[in-house]
Amino acid sequence: MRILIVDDDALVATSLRQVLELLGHEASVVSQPGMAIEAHRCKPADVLLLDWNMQGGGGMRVISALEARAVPPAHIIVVTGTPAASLPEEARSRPVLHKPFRVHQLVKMLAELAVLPGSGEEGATHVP
Amino acid sequence: MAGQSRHPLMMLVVVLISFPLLVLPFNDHDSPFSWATHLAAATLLVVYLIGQEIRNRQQLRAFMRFMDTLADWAIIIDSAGKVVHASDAMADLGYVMSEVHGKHWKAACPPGNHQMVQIWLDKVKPGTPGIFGPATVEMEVPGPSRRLVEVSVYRLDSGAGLYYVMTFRDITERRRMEEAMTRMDRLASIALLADGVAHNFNNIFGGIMLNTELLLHGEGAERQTFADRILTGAERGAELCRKLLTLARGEALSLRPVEVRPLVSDLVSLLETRPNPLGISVDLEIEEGLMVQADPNQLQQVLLNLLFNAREAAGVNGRIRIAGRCKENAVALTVSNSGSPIPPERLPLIFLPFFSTKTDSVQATGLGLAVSQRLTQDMGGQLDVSSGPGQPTTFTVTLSAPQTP
Repeated sequence: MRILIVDDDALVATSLRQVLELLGHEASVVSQPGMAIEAHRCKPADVLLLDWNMQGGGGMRVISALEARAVPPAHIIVVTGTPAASLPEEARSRPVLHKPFRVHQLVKMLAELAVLPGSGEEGATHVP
Repeated sequence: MAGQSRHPLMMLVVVLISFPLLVLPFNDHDSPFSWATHLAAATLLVVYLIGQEIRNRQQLRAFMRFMDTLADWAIIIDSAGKVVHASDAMADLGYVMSEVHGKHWKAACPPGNHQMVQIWLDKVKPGTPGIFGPATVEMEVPGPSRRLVEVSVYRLDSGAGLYYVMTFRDITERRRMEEAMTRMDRLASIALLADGVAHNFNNIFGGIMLNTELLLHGEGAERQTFADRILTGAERGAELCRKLLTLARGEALSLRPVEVRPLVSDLVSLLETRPNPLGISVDLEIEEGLMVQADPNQLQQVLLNLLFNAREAAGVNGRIRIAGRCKENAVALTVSNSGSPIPPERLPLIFLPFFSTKTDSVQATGLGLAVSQRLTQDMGGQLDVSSGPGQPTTFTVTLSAPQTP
């Protein structure tokens, strides 16, 4: 799958990209909400791993901007370190990956999305 | 009041007319003034004085009626301590005007308050400015309860005589509401703080966990990278802990006279060792010899935070200006930058923990300004911000000047 990571925390974003590449996905990283729209337009992603708590309130902005597009990403996974109870409805209504997470949790979530319509055909290879 | 401003002039006219008429003719039996003239003069004087008395009493009654419209408990006593008026609200306490009128004020006051009230009355007796309060006290009220009351006592030197006015406002409920709101505020702050802490630490743990898994399955040189990242994450966690602790309980202070310019010069040199891709310039406008009362380490940390912020905000080819000036017994240190202004709706929020406007920075924990404000306040100073279109965003650290030796 083609996965776009939107996260302003470089440590998390870079590590996540490497993990996804090891899993056999094509992953790219943007560090600002504004860049996510641009990146998705140039190279549409199957899955968006969206950090909800980017400084400057990014998550919500990205979602509303993407939904206004002709071709939104097939799936948006909200990635957040904020406790679920403090998340707004817009985030909770989507698949949420709570930081910190283990690789197998990410793999499981991607696998679940892969069987849903609109996902890429490339299968994920598990980290042994 | 018009009546009062007319009073001295009228008095003068009446005395000037009536006094010669009353007195002079008695010394001269050949006077053309008849007894009727004397009577007329005396009548004029008496009618005038009665008129004055009536007007004074009317004014006092109007004042009493006004007091009856208030929710405050109010009582007027005369110079002998007798109740002249008890406001309608006093009836709620069981002191009905018809029952207490003409009695000593102690009849309209629970015994537990007598001593306290007497002290207030002594404070406003003739020869004093005549005003006490408003003061907040706990008072006994009829029944088992005590109330928190805002009390004012003043002397009324009216034309009709000497009176004392006491008003009591029950602020028990207001205080209870205020306390409840403060408690809610605190809970809201704790919730905000907890969310911020959770988010920051979860991000760090996220990085550490991902890299540990990468390390476990990685090979060769890249294992070093993963291990380094784990260390970086752990260091960020430790740094965050340190900031949180500073925010929560402050640090041990050692306030002493500090010369500002060398301290700031060091910081600017430190800043200049960092990469400067945006071409930001720093102007240092602090006179040599400018001293403040501060803890040098804390002041350095505050200014460094402000400088880093300014650098992130200044924009391409931006300018940062650091200035200091002495005003009265205080020294104001300002750090301004030429970047775009902080939106007005965000301005009140920027000192809150975990509020950050930075969009692309690993360093941004949202604690910098909160910690800076805390440190400045610990040193007895304050940290303010001003920002708007057409003016540079300016943070001002105000500290006291050293005590003269």
